[in-house]
Amino acid sequence: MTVYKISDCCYTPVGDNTPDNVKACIDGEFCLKEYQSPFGLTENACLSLFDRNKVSSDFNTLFPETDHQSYTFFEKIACIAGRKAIGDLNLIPDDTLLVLSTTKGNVDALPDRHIPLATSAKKIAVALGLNADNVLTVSNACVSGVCALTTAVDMLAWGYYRHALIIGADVLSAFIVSGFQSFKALSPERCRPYDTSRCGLNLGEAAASMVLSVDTPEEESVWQVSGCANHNDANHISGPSRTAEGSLKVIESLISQAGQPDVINTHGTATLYNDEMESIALHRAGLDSVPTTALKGIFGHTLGAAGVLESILTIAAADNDTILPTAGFGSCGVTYPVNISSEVRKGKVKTVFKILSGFGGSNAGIAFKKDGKL
Amino acid sequence: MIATATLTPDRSATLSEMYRSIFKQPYPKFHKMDLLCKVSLLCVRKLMNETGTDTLGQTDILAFTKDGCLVSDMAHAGMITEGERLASPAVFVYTLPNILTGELAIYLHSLGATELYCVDSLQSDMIDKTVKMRMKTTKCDTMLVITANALDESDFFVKSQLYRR
Repeated sequence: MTVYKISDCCYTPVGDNTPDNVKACIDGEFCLKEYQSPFGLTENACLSLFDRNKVSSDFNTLFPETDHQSYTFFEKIACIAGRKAIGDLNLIPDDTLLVLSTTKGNVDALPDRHIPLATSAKKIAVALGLNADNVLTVSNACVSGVCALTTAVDMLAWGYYRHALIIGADVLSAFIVSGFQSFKALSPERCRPYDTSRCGLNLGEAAASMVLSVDTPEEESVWQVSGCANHNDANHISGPSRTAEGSLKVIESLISQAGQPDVINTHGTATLYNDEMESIALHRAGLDSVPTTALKGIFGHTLGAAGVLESILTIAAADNDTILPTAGFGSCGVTYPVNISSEVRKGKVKTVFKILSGFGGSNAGIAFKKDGKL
Repeated sequence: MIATATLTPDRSATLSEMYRSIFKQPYPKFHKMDLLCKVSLLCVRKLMNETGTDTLGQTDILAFTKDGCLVSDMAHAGMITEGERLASPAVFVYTLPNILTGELAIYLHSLGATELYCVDSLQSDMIDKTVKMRMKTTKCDTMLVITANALDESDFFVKSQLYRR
């Protein structure tokens, strides 16, 4: 059964909706900045953070009937993105699956309070008027967002539900920032994906949501999901594979399902190892010449939101025949050059690949195809 | 489903003792793992012992948990409360629950899919629904399903189930 993308919302420090975030990518606007001793930590860090007061205010406006004190900051951004994607859609609760994608959810409440991820997912479902029993939470580190999308796609394609709302969200805290600092994975300044001088990633907060459905949309031209893939490297829990085996298998699987892509949006974290590994995967798959983009130079690494956020923005740009620039990129610093640019490019884009790789040896990908109605 | 194994605390044996009785060949990586990974790997090896197999071939690995890697989360949170310079990459990496499926993929040399889902209860109907759905979409011949929760060496439950397409 064909699964269509019906609607979406990107809610980030950069913008409140998808068009504003696309515009930010094109204009090179971002909220990444160096924070002195963020969250009470000793080391400085370059982060993209929400304005907490604005999030509270947005939540109160969108959820006037909900007890706002019972929702955490993390749950609020997820609810806001979810509500904005649902809009006027009539999602019948018993026919609708909610998939929450997050790496750490409310971990900032520890050690005082442990809030299981599934507890948050149910609260989000209740706020959105969905069935709190039809909820799954994916926590697959950096690849969570794509896995949440592909889980929803398969659930719909096999007839378990008619609609799915996928929400990817993560917020930052001393817990997460200190952990990445201990890994020496953070760049002290704005990150530079695939660049010769790249030296690490930035962390960012975001929530992004997508509604998928098996009901044929009314629009003349719609995006549908044309491929899903997931392969482990079986190599190392915190280091990418030197041969890019898992990522290569993901890309090869997407090609076999969806054909050649017109654009690939990669993980592109701007760590030495991730970008190098992805360039090897693209080279081995014969896709070196396909226009490639990475968005971490605008949003930072938004963890569980990344797969949903970056899929939406790549698709939304394609609707205007636009290939998003890779902010922070200057000159190619990977062994196998990829077709990447800091400039906006124009071109017909009918097939988009979104790929991710992360801790735990995970690699995942999803393909979207723009088509007239079947 | 072709095989199942469960692992629960044994008052007469520590985890290290369980490891020595379940693992016939040494697997030194075991000792670096957090509790969730240790008990899950022990349960999978137990299942393999009981079915007399040393390899599962390429397999999809699905894991379901309620509290995830809470033991590692608490350890990392405790370290940074005392001064974040004490944060350790060796602890922090295990604050990602899907390290569990990564460790199993490494042990099994499997390049199949790995997925970790958090559910509100290990009896959730969503587990059965997701497993059935994945059985239809898997490209591997076998699928390994882990349902696990681990709060303490004396408070954990793991079930490993092997499905064949």
